[in-house]
Amino acid sequence: MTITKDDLLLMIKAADPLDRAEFEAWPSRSQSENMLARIYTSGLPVPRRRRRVVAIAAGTAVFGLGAAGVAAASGVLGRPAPEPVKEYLVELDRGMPDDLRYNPDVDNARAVAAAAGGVVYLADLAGGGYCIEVSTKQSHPGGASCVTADDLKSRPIDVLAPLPAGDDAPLLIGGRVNSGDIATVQARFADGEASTIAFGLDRAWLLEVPADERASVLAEGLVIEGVSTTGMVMSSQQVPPMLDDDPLGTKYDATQPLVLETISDGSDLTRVLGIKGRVNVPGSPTLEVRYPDGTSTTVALGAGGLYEFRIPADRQDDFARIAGALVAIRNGAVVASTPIHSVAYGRAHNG
Amino acid sequence: MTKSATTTRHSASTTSVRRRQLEALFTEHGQTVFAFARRRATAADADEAVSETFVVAWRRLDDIPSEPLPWLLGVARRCLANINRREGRQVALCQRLAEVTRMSSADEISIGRDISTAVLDALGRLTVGERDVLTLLAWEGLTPDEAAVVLACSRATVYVRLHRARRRFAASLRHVTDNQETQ
Repeated sequence: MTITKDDLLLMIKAADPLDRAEFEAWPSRSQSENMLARIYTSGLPVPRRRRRVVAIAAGTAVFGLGAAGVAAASGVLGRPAPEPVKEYLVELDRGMPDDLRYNPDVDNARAVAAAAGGVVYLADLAGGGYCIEVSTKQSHPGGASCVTADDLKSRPIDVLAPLPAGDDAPLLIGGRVNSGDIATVQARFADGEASTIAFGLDRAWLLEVPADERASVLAEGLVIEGVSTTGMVMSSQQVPPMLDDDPLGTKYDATQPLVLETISDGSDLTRVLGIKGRVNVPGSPTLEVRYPDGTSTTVALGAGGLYEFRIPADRQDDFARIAGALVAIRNGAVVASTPIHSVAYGRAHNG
Repeated sequence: MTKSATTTRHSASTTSVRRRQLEALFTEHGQTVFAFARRRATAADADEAVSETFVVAWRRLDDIPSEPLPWLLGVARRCLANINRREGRQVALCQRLAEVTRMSSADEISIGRDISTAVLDALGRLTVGERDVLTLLAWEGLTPDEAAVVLACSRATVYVRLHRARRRFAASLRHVTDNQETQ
C-alpha cells in the first residue's frame, strides 16, 4: 500500500477525534471566560479540582457524655479562643501570597463545639466561609481546616480528624455541617453501630470517641454521616484509621519510588529553595528536575539513593504557580516521577 | 505630579498594554490551543493545560514570537506532559485514541466511521514522535517548520519523522484493515 503525504494527512484529518460541538462551545464556557480574569488577579491557572480536605483535628465527645460533661461543654461555647489557638490560626497564612491568604477573623475566633477532652474553635472568613480548629482542653491545637465561601457547597460536612497525641490522649473528631439539607450528624463505627453527635454553635460538632470504640476507630476508622429530617443519609465522610504506627513516615517512604521534600524558609511559600529526598528505583537511574517551562537539569544522586538539590536563585519562583516534576530515568525512559510545586500552589489547587 | 505618581501611571499603562496583548492572543488562539489539548487529553486536563499555557504566556509575553501559535502549542504540549506526570498517568494520545476507537466500535458502524477507526488505530501504533508530527500537520494544520517549533526539534527531524511515519502508517493501516476484514 502506497500513500502520498497529502492523502495521508487527509485521511488523518478526516479521523479528527475532536468533538466540533464541544470545540465551538468552548469560548463561551464559564471556565474559559474566567481564565484571563484569574490570571490577571492571581497569576494562577483556573483550579480544576479542589480536593476534599479531611483536615486532622480533634473533637471531644458530646457523644457518650454524661450530664456533667454536657454541662461543662456548654459552659465553654461562645468563649473567645485562647492565644495559642489564635496564633495557630494566624500561622495558616504565614508565607502565603496575598491572593491565597484566608485572613480568618482571628480576633473573634470562638468556641463552637466542645466535649470533655477538647474544643472546636471557629474564625469567620471575610467573604463567607470559615476556619475551624480542634484543640485539646489544654489549648494544644490539633489541626485546622479552612473552607471558603466557594467551597461550602462541595463540603456538606467538614471533618477534622487529628491523630491523637498519645495513647492516653482523647480521640477527637470534629467539624461543621455546611449543607442545609442535613439535620443531624452521626458516627457510624466499624461494627455498624451509629451514634448521633450533638451540634454545638453554628452547626459545628465534636465527637470524643468512647473508650469501647477507640480500638476499632484507631484500626479501621469510622464514617461520619449527615442525615436529613426524613432519616436519609445525605452525605458521608470516611475517616481513615487513626492509628499512627509510623510516626516518622519511613514505612510509607520506603514504598515510594521517589521521596521528595521541598525546602523553603517559611517566609514565602511561593518559592521552592531546594528539594531533597531519596530514590528507591532499582537499576541506577538518573534523576532530573523538570521546570514548568519544559527545561530540565540533572540532579546528582548520593549513596543510598539520597539526593539534595538547591534550586538556582533565579528559578526559585518557577514552581510558584505551575508544577514541574522530578523524574527518574532509566535506559532513556521515565520510570518514576513526582510533582514539584510550591506550598502555595498546593493550597491553590487542593485547598 | 510627584515622581511616585508618574511611576504608578506608567506601570498601570504598561499593565493595560500587556493585558490587551494577552487578550488578543487568547481571543485568536485560545480555542485552537484547547482543540490541541482536547484531542490529546480529557476535557478537564485540556482546560487545565489551556489555563496553564496562558499563565506561561502572561509571564513570558515578551518572549512570544511574532507567529505565536506554534509557541503556544509547544507550551501546551509541555503543560499536558506535566499534567500527566503530576497525575502519575501515562495518558498519551494513543490512549485517547484507544478510547475514541472503543467508542466508535461500540456505535453503529458506517463505512466512513470504520475508516476513521482504522486510521486512529493505526495512528496509535506509531511512535510518539511520528504521531506528533502527523497529527500536528493534519489536525492543527501546521507546516513542518511550525511543527518543529511545537516539538522543539529541527525541521530536518520533522521531515525524517514524517517520512518514517508514512511508511509505518501504511503498514499499520494495512494490519488494522486486514484484522477488521477477518472479524
